[in-house]
Amino acid sequence: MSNPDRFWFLFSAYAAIWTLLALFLIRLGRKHRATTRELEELRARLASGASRGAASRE
Amino acid sequence: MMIRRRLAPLADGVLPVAATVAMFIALACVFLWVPNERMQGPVQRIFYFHVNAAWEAFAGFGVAAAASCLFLWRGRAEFDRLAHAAVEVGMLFCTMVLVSGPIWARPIWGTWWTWDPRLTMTLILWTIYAVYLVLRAMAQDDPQIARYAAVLAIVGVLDVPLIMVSVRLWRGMHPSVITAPSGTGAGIQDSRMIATLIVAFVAFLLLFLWLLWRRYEDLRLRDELHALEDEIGALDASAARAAR
Repeated sequence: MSNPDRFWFLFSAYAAIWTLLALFLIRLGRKHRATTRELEELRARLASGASRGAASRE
Repeated sequence: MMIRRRLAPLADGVLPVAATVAMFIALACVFLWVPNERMQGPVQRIFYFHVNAAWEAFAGFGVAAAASCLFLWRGRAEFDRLAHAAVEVGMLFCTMVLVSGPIWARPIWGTWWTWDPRLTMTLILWTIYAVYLVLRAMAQDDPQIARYAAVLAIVGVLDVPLIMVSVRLWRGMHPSVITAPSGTGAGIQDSRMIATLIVAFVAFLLLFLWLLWRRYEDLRLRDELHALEDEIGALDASAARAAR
C-alpha cells in the first residue's frame, strides 16, 4: 500500500476521533442548557409561589 | 460539597483551556514532529491517540467501578453520579478505540476486524458498559436499578486487566507496542515517539478530567431539578388541600 493511501487512513482515524468528541460535546452542551433552563423555570415558579403564599397570609 | 466548590473554578476555568492547548501540542507532535515508523509508515501515527483513548477508557471504567463500590457501601448519591458520569466518558474513549483501531488494522493487517482476544474483549467491555447506560436510561431514578448498575460497573471492570494481559497470555495479533521486551526490535524506541506519546497522554488525561467534571455537574444539576420538582409537587398538593 502506497504512502498516500496510508495517509488517507491516518486522516480518517483522526477525523473519526474528532467527530466522536464533537458529538459528545454537542450532546453535553444541549443537555446542560436544557437542564439549566428547566431549573431556572422551576426556581422562578417556586419563588412566585412563595411570594403568593406570603401575600395571601398577609 | 466543600471539595466540589473548591474544585469548580479550576475545573471550569483551567481544565478546558489546558486540555485544548495540550491537544493542539499533541496534534502538532503527531503530524509535524514525530518521524514515520519504518514498517508501518504514516498510519502508525494513529497509535498516539488510539492508545491514549484506550487508557482513558480504562480510567473511566476504573473510576466508575470504584465509585460504584463506594455507592453500594455508603449509599450516597454523589458516588452514583460519579459512576454514571465516568461510564459515559469511558464509553466515549472506548468508542474512539474501537473506531480508530480498525482504521489502523485495514492497511496493516489487511482487514478491518479480526476476532483477536484483545479486540474481542474490548468489544465485550464496550457492550457491558453500553448495557449499563441502557439500564440507567430506562430507569433514571429507581434506586434498585442504580444498585444493579453499580454491580454491573464493578463486574465490567474485571475485563480491563484481561485486555491488558491478553496480548501476552493468548498471543493474539494485536501488537504490544509499549511493553515489548528489549532486544526484540518491537515497541517504540525513538525518543520523539516516546515524547509524543507522553504529550498525548497529558492531553487525553486533561480532556478526560474535564469531560468527567462537566458530565458530573450536569447530573448533579439534574438531581437538583428533580428535588425542586418534588418540592413544587408537595407545595401544589398542600395548596390544593388548603383550597378545599
